[in-house]
Amino acid sequence: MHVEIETRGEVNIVRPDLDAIDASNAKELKRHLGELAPRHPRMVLDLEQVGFLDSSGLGAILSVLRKVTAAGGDLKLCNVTPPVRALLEMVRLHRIVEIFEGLDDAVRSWDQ
Amino acid sequence: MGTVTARRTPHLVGIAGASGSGKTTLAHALARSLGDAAVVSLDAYYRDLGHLDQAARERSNFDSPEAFDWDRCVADLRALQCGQTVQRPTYDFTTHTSRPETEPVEPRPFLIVEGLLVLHHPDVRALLDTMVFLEVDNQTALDRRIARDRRERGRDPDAVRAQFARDVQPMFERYVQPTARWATLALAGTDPVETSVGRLSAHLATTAVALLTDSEARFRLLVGSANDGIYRITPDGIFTFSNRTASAIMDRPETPLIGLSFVRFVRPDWRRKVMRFYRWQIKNHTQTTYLEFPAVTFEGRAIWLGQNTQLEEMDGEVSGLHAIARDITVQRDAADALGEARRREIEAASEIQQTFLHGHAPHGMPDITIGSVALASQDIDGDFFDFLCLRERVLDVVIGDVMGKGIPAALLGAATKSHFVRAAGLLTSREGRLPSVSRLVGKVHAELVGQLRELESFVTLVYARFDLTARTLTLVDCGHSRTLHWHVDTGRCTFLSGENLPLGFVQRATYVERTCDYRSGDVFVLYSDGVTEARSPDGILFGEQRLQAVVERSARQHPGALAEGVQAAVARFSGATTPADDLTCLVLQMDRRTERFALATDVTFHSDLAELDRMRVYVRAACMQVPAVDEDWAEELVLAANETMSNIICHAYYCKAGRTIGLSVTTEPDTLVVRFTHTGERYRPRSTTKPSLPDLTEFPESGFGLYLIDQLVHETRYEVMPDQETSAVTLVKRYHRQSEER
Repeated sequence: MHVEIETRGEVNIVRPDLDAIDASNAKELKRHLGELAPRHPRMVLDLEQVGFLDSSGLGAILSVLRKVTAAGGDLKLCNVTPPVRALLEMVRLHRIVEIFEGLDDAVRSWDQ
Repeated sequence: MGTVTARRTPHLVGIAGASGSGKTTLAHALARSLGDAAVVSLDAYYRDLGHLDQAARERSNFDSPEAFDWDRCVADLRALQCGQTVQRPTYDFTTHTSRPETEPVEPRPFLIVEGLLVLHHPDVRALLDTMVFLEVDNQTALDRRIARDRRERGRDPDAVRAQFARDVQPMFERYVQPTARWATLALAGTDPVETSVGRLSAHLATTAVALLTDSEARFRLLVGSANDGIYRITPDGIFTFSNRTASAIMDRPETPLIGLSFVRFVRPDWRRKVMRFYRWQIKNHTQTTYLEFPAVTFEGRAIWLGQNTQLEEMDGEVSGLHAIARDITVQRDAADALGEARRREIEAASEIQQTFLHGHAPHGMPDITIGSVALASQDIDGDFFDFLCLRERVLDVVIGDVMGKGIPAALLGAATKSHFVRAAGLLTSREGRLPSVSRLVGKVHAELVGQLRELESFVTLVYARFDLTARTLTLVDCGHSRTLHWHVDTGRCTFLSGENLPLGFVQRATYVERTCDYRSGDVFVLYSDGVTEARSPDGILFGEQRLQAVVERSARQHPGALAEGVQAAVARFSGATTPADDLTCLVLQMDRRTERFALATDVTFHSDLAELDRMRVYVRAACMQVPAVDEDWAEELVLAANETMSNIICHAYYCKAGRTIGLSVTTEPDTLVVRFTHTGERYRPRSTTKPSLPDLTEFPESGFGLYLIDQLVHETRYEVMPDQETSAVTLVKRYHRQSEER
């Protein structure tokens, strides 16, 4: 699994190179991001590539959210594609995770 | 050594190591063991010091590379390798001068070159097939040197000791030790010579010689070519040998790859794939493989390598991999660029067609369902079609083909199409009623004939008018492919054709129309000659009969699926994915509302989560065949299907591989039905109440699946089939009422 990681100050931008996050790869993604969480608790998940997300993908996001929160940080999402956004809203994830239009907005949100 | 087969060109073995490491002893013992072998000592190539006095000669540094006549040495080894006998010099170690007499050395299947600095000179290394380095501790080396120099060269032990400290040891560290990295085999100089000979023979048998015996020519070709990198890798991926070209490919010709990890040179996103490939080769004992993969050099430059890899086996165990690699970046780039250019050309062509030549099927028209496929060939033939709704419950369809190819044909096609649209609008508004089909075609002909004749072109077309109230089809056929009419009551096809000439063929033309009735459920297929005139690789025409067979077999499918089925049948027949001619196929199904259609039937998946992706493709494709369904709606059904199949894999099959899951997608009026079948555990949701959304503030990592399915579809059914083995999970989602329910 290829996950691109970019660091801007204290913020880590994580960009999975996946068209779809489903039960076939969510576990690996969860583990991968979970390992990053304690060291980089300020995390932006850039979902630009991801055109499909299922319930196990949701589970992975919530797992990472739990870990970054425990480490004193937070998780923010950006560049969410329409089908993924529809799912996030259906489970009301947008009420507990901030979703930004663009990457810069997400990174800047820590400055305020 | 019965396993070693010698070849016509000699195999050169170099043995290097410290003075006193046992090179000469090993070389001669190996020669005896191999039988037909000659030994060449590098010591014979010391430079003549006759111009110096004896004291100066004694002070000379005999352990430095400058002490040797490399040019002569390389020339002799080359000659031997080419099968020539050479006269090697002889050297007097007492006087440090060359003797006048020379000694003949004949080429043998094996030539063993031994000496302190045998691995020092790149030109010598390039000639060596096998490189050995003998390791030894200082004390052993000194003791052996004293004994030898006294015995063979009549020299005093103290002088030998002094020379050892002054020259031998520092020079060893400076010049000899660094050459150990080139060795394909390292041996201990303190081992009994029989042990060393045994190991060296085994190495010869399994490495170079084994490589050669079956395919000497290929090996020669590959090793000889300056473009190829050659290296040996251990089964766990560490370089133990590499030639200069291999290092040069990686941007550092002077840095051997030995000791480095192979995988560090593979582009990161390919590492898993490449490692899996070679693990597979080792596991299956596949003797030779070829793989192309992207690599990154020392300097971070991205390249492509084509790598031939041969297994080295010892007693049935894989002991290493021999690889011959070539930098294929240029070829790859060229192939990619060519592919890209061709792709853009086709894209441009089909964009022209979609923008100017292809009309859009009217959505949501009652009592008629339309499916279409339009593929551009690389040449653009100027196929065009359009749909005109001039009056309620009347649909006009025009489909045509311009003679000629390329942009002129495309423009003429676009012009013809717009003439029809304009003429139909004009005549309707001027006369207050629909113009007859024949009148409309006649008017367009009159407007276009001048231009067409000037361009020496003509247009074949069918203009068809479906009256949905009277259930009649009226058409004018101007030399176009014959319209196919499938009858629901007989299940058979008839062809409708006219006697009219193509537009632009003659100056004055009158057009004759014909009318036929149809029944609810009948199907009409209008198409371009790209369908019927497609040819198999043997030159056989696809023809009307094959088209008729496809339609009669699949006419009860959704029109979109039928159109795609026709296209797929043509592609299979012609063996080409891009048609030679433009291919257009319009399918019109009359009054299909009471019918039930299969959009995807009996697709089988493995009980593997990696199959989810393929399943989603099927469900999306099925949704796209239903015009009333939009993308958002389709994605909801796809997600529900995804959750259901995940559940089947995890709860019915407990994630065990090797089982199967069936899928079918059907459409009924206003509804899409996705049905999965499996033969695993009869899982079903425990509670009969509606699943609720897990509390997100608890960070739940599961429990969303059933909630989502419930939200996304209108109905979920769990059933056991009459065979008592198969279970079915059915998802029902309605589309016409979606807006009021949301």
